[in-house]
Amino acid sequence: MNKITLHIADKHYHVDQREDGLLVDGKLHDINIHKITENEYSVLIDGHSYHIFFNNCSKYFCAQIDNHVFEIKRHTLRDELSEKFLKKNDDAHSSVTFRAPMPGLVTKVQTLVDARVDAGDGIVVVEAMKMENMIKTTKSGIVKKIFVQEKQAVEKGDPLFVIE
Amino acid sequence: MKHKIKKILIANRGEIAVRIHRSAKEMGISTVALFSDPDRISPHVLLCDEAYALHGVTSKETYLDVEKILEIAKHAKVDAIHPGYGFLSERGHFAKAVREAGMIFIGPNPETIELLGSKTSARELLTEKKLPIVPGSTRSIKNLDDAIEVATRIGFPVMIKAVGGGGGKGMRRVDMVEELSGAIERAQTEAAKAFSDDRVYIEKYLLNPKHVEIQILADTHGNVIHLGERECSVQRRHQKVVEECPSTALTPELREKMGQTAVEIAKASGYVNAGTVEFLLDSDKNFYFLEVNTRLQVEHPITELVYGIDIVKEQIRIAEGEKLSLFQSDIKINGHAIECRISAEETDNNFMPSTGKISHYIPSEGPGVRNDSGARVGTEISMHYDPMIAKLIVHGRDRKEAIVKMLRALNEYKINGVKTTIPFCQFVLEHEEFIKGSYNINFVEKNFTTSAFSLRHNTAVAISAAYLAHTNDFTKADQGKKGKDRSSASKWKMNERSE
Repeated sequence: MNKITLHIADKHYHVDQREDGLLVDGKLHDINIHKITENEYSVLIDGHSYHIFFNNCSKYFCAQIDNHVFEIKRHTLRDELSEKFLKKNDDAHSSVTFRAPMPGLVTKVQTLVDARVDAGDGIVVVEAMKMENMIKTTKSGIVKKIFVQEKQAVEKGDPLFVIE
Repeated sequence: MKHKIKKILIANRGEIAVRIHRSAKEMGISTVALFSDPDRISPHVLLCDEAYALHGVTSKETYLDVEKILEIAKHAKVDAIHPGYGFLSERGHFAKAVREAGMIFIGPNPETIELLGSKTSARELLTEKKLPIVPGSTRSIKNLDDAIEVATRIGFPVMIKAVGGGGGKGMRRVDMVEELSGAIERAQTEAAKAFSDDRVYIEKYLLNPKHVEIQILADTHGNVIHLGERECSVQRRHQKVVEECPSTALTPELREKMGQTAVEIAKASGYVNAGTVEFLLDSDKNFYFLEVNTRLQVEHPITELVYGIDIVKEQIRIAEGEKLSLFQSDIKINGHAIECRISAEETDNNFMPSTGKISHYIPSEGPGVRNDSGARVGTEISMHYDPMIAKLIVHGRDRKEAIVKMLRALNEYKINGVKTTIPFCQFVLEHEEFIKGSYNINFVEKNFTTSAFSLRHNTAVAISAAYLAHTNDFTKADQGKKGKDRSSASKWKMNERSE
């Protein structure tokens, strides 16, 4: 049998493929699945109809259902260990990395490395689709690192700055 | 002077270019499309009779390049240019250049565009005519001291607005004097980029008004009529998302009063062609002039459905020098229409733009549903242009039917490859305040939280099942790389229908 753990939208699901159906978190479901086009599936669960699309969004693999997009990660033991390690590391230095919430162009960097900032201070301005978006820090502290400079294009999820 | 138009160049892209093409075709007029490099396979290019490259990517080097556009217009021997909305639609110098090149500009004359396009001169005109405007400055802000003077005179909160245009660009709400300088600076930068004009002015921020606008039509013979109102109070970042016609707030008497005010404004400014007069309506039913949009409005289809009028065809007829085909007394409300703007934005991430390539596109169909779209499978949503993909419009016998129809249609709509505002529109249409009709322009700020939508157990099961089938597929495709997955995934059986 094929047992895996899927991380979907910040929750873990224990999934077990069996001859008689799909066991998810201990509940058995009768599944009828059909691939429609590349990345597009119709799934009937106990008779209920679901229409699902897949695509690669930024860092993750994503499923789209009723125009809601959910990130999916296959969870392995290694993932669990590395997550724990990263959390410990972050806690120890209590630094936070702020990332670009959308792709765009950095039009302004308002602070310098080693400057003291308060939560709510604007640090970087990212422009996308003609709108200026002020990226603010939610943490008070010292600017440890600035990854970007003015006129630099950024992708969604790119690190912008670190506050410690 | 009458001039039958035979060929129109559409100086725009996306859904509005397609929309204009459709009316032109039905009138027996040939259409010419323009396209930037990324728009080569867009529907407007595929549909129009002719299409010419603008060679470039950014708006500035393509859809905003007057010289390139006029050169193509001359080469294609068109006799008229329709500017759509956005881009060059409200630039007086463009309308003037078109006229000087011997072609018809489908819209008001350049002088009217300049007069009303400058929000401050429009405010001055209205003050002269004793028509109601939102309190504030009637000229642009000179410096910080000037701004502080105006803001303290009218009282906080105030709104900083661009003299050169609307659409939420160059707009900032300011609650206290300390915020003024920073907000003005950012509004000016945005305004300069969007309208090539960094001037801003200050208006009183009305607390809980509704946004109600009046559609007008004016011909070259001095006839002006209004086509009732559209309510556009559901806004995020000062941009409309859901619009409806008629508004729940208007009685027939108030409709007539606002309509007549709009007609007066049109007459005072020498207006010709289709236009929209925007008002703010407070809870005591006082209305204040906001601005005139001297062009076709994004949300014009809801008026078309309720009043049974093709506004683009009227625009073309007016430009040909024809008299209006309708009298004010011919205008009758029939049912209710709602429009949802479907934009590539992350509803769950503060409406940040979502870029990517559309891999699946299944728009809604069925009775009473209209889909004005500029996208298809393969369309790349880039950060260079407006993120709007399509407009979903429904028409019902009454408001109740229109709401359930819209919810049905939103549920049917499938777009994959980018995130869209569909979940947000569903949230709005299901919200008690919207259903009651009591909402105002602070609806989104007050009610919408960007927390992630929760996942039901069965939805997670469906995703898991599809994921397993999908990764099984991948394994088959490149067996060498994922040997480990293959053995386990191959056990998965597709449970095909047996009947």
